[in-house]
Amino acid sequence: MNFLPKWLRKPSKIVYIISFKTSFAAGDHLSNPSKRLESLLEVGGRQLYALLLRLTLRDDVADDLLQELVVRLSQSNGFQHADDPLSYARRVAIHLAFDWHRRKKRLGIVESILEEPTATAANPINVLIAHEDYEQILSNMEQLSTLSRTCLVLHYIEQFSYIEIAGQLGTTPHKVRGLCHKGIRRLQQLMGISSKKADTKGENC
Amino acid sequence: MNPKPKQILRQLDKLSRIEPNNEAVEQALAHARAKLAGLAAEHARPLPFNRKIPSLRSRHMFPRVAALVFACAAIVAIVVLFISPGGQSQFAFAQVIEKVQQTHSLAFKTKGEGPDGQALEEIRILILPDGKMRAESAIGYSIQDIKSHKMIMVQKENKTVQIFEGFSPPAPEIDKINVYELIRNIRKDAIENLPDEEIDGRKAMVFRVEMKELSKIVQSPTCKVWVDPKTELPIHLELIADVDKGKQVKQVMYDIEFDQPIDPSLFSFTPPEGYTVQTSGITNFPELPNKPELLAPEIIPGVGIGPIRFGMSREKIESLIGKPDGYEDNQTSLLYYSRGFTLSVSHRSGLKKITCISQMHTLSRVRDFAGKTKEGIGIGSSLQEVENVFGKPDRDEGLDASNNWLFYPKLGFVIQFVNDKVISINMREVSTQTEESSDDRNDSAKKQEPKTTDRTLKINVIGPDSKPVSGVKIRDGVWYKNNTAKMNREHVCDAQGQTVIELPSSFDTLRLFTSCNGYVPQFVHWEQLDENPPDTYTIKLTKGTLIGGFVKNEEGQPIVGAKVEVMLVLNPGEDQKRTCFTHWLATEDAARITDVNGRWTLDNVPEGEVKLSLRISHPQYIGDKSWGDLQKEQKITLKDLRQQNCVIILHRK
Repeated sequence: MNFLPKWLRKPSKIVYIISFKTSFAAGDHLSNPSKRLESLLEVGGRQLYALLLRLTLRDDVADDLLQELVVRLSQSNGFQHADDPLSYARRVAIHLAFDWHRRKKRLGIVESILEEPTATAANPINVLIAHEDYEQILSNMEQLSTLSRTCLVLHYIEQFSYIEIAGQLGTTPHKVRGLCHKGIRRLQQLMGISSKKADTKGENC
Repeated sequence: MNPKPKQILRQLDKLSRIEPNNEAVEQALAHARAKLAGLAAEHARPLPFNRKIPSLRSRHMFPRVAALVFACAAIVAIVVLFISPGGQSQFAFAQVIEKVQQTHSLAFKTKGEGPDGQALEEIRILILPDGKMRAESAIGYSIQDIKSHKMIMVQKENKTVQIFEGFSPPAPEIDKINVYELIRNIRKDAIENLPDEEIDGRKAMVFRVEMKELSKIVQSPTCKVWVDPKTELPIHLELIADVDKGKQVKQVMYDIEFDQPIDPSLFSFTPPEGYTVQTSGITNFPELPNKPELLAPEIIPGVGIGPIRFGMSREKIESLIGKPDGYEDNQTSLLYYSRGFTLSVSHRSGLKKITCISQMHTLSRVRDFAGKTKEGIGIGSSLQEVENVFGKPDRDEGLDASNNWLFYPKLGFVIQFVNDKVISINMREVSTQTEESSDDRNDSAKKQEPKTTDRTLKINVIGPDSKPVSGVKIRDGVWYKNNTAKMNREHVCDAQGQTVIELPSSFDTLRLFTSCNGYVPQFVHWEQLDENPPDTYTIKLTKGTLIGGFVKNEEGQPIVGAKVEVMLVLNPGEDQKRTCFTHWLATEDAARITDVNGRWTLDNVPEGEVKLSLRISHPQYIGDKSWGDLQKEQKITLKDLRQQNCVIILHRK
């Protein structure tokens, strides 16, 4: 009796050579993300941190999320093969920031924003109001579609042109423009609803 | 009351001005780098045998990890056949085969070392006489049965079981290659006797075997084998090969045992209780369709294959080419394994991705895709043939020279090669920026257009003095639901500055672009039909101002025929208004071309402080890679452009 499976008795050299090389090369690829990430932090670390800060309004959270971003990207196949790693990282950062908003809402995290206004020269009340406005807008953006939200952040907050965003997202400037427009309209509706809710709550009080 | 868009834009603008302080940035970057260092250390740990290999982006490639265990077994099998009884470096096929046939089972452990010296995980492999093979590691196990075309992978950590039906090794030439032929063709000097050594506390005969058959893929593959003089069977084996950039990989097989009792229950395909089971692959292929266009559909880059087009719904696809052999991913992946392709269909936007595959691409049983492009490129085409037809790729990536991917984003292609042959073609839709250039796409767009003209929009174009302007070109862009299709038409205003645009009964977005010499191009739009366009709309044009300059080479000589494109950078939110200036002052066909003096001018620039971005190109010179590169580098200001005397220097390629 022959103990070997039929295909092993007549093995294709290709079968095992490929699998052998593939398995080994996997190790090589695992070392590459680190190098990619190092250069990403070198080139775009500041931009990514700034983006996270703008989307979370908190230094400590931006710091945490930047670390989380590094972890995510190190595990990401997409990042490893991305044509433009910084754009890819920027998109992941946007997802992380809005995930944080969602989590925060779910867990009811209370922010220590009262400490922040006193550090500024502006009127603390105005700063608080502005902070609340930003919070409201970011919280409503979380409800937009991922693509629309990404376009809004990249265009209005990160100030990229439609052409640049289209390049990053692999779509056309026309579609980006449409998504931005739609996003603003939707945001307008959402903010109208949330401000109505806030007013009603105020009346109840 | 809803806030006005302007208020929202103002708040977003304020958000964009938030800048972190340097100290916080440095601190955050230091934390991130520390995290990265920690991760790198983690990566140096052994690689779990069923972790997804990062380079294998396709889900079809996932089972290939499991092929490692076959690799190990195959090497042992070949070595067993190489080494003749008595340790002679001669071939005695009859004795070797007899020896092998006397054994009933095989068990060994294997571990490897990657090119950077990182250790790969230890795997224990058990093989039964009926061909079943079990691979065990710290995180789980896998069982493969080539006879029943089945494989199971059990991952303890997240309690998941993956069952691959129709499992087949990726070997299209499996029946053509005969290992005995292989051995006969090996030169006698390929096996070298080395001095005896002690290994694992046992004295062993040592041989070095030159693995010539591997040399097409890896450089200098050598195998060192330790053989027990009593049993005349290998007990330890090391395979070393060079890979790219002078790096070496090593695979060690040890504790090799023949005829050890193995519990048959270890080869059960019953998933452990409490585990989540996922099944993929196809057990039996259905009957193939008779029509040749369905059996070997033509690959049309960026458009589709055979009768299938990107954007089509699942129902439409199934009505055209029949039901798939199976579904995956919540019915968004249609598996036509019997015809060698899979389709990814989104519920919202229809067909998004087509993957033409071959058996080499996957361990699931598939028939090689038989279709080709009109130039004859398909599965099995060589790299040279592909480059002859499509040109050099925009990017290529790969594990090494024998296993790589070529990226043709403009064609929507990612082509995978192994051993210089195409083994898979990933296709995506190619989106175009403005007018659709592809006839096929236009055809598909037209098919989706509502045919009836429900209404018209009369456009009046007036100048700054409110007098009609004739000869103004207006290009429309009508978009349908979900941006799935659009139409572009061009209209020219008559002597009264009027034109009429016919609108379909239903659409989503209407955009109008004006162009007229001496006037700033205008953009008017109704997005997502936030408001229905009126029956008559008046566009008031603004007089443009002149800008210009020269394009010269390093020696100061004018460059004739350089293409100068000019884009107006609008402030974010500006185009939220119903009408505004367009970005495109001079692009594509409207780009300016330098004359014999290297001079160019443009007369449609808005007056005042505006931000302009230039893009210069010339076939013999290094132009802008992206908008404004040379402009920034050579510090060309708006003032320079308005004075029309600025010089942009291009360097030769």
